[in-house]
Amino acid sequence: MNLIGRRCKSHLENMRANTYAPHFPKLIVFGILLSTCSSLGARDIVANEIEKDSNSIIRGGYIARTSNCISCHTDVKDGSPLLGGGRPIITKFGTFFSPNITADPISGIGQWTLEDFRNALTQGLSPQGEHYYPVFPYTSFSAMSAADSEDLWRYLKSVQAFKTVNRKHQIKFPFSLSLAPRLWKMAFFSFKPLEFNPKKSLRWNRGMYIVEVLGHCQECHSPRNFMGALSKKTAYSGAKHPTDNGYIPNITPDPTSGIGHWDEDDISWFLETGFLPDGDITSGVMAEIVETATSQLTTGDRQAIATFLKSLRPIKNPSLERETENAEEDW
Amino acid sequence: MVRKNLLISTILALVLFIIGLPAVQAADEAKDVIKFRQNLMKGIGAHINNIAAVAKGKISFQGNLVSDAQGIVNGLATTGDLFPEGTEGGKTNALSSIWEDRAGFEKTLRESSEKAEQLLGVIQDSGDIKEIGVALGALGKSCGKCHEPYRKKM
Repeated sequence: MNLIGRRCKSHLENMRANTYAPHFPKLIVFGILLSTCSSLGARDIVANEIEKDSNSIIRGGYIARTSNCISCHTDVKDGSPLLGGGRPIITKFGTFFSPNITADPISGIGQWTLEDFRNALTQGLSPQGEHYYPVFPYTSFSAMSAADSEDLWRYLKSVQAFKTVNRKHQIKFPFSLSLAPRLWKMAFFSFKPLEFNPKKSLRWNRGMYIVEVLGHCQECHSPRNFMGALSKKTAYSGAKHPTDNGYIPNITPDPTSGIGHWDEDDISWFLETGFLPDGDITSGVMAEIVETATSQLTTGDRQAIATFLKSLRPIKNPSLERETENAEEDW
Repeated sequence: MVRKNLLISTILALVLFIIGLPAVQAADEAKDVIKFRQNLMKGIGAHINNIAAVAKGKISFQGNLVSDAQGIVNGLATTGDLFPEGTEGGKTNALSSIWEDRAGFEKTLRESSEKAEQLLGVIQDSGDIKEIGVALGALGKSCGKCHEPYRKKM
């Protein structure tokens, strides 16, 4: 975990640097343009363009953190390039290696258009028309707003490109057949835009968007069926970890197996620091997510997540209950 | 003859008793040590919670901050001693990696001790709620770094 901690920190620092650094030359060019522009009108237009572009990248960086792109698309090894891919993701169906999503034209997504990017993100389709396995959470991202995906796109384009070559997935037969993800999508994937709920507060709606779409929390916290599809009925009610001995917590407000005894402040505090209400600290993947994603959010967004989670229907998950009862012995 | 047999069996019983005694004691002790260190960890958790309540702005009373932080420092100072050989089995979430990689375990513990002392320092020197929150967060991360490789996933 030392490695992961250090890696995340250095990458977050890199990321912050990368967000702004590549644009200095451009700004200087614009500056020269500006100083030679005598017309006030033209100056305004150029100024707005600069603002739009750099703000877009900053917003995109925020979306990248909220969507936790970094954790999966960066290999855990110390010093591996930010968003260069190669991190193994172990599933029941085999081991997947996240691809390079830097702007490198050969290994990365340097030759993609914004349209290609949106198709990948929201439809699970590669520019060549191949279907992605749902290990890539397009199932959640499908409802990402057009503005957010464009900002994210601009941010990815601004990150330093690396040539890291993509590793081939090691998928078990018959899931390795190219038909498999296509069939899976026919059975389990449908594109549905997110609807603003006018009966609920703005904060709740923001929370829903972060939890359901950007943060793709369901991808871990909801049980899956035998084909790895998320169960809508029991969403967020946790599960035994599919590939190791741990378990994934129930984050519905059920009092015995979920987080019913947490209040909204407890959730915000957890997302900011990783501390549980009993003073213990989260570990594993969630510790990483707290470090690279949720602790980087605005306080308002963390509160929005808390508001939304507390509004979920409480679901009892008997498989997790025993462990929660014993939680006090679990130090 | 009967007397001799009695003597031998008494000696034998005594010898067995003396040999057996530490074994029985050790078994009991392991269970108690495990319980003891679990209580210690829970205590540290409680101290952290009380400091967190102040850092979150839920509690305005600051009179216990120093003693809570001191409690964490003291607890972490003895944590290493509470994982002796022979306490890796039983009702514990401690992983055998503690004993296999003792140096690494002690090192992460030391890091936590340092962070706890820094937290105590911030409380004593500035008392600023924001700074306390940051120092507490740093301590929490160091706890996680020790739990990750040395505690069962929960």
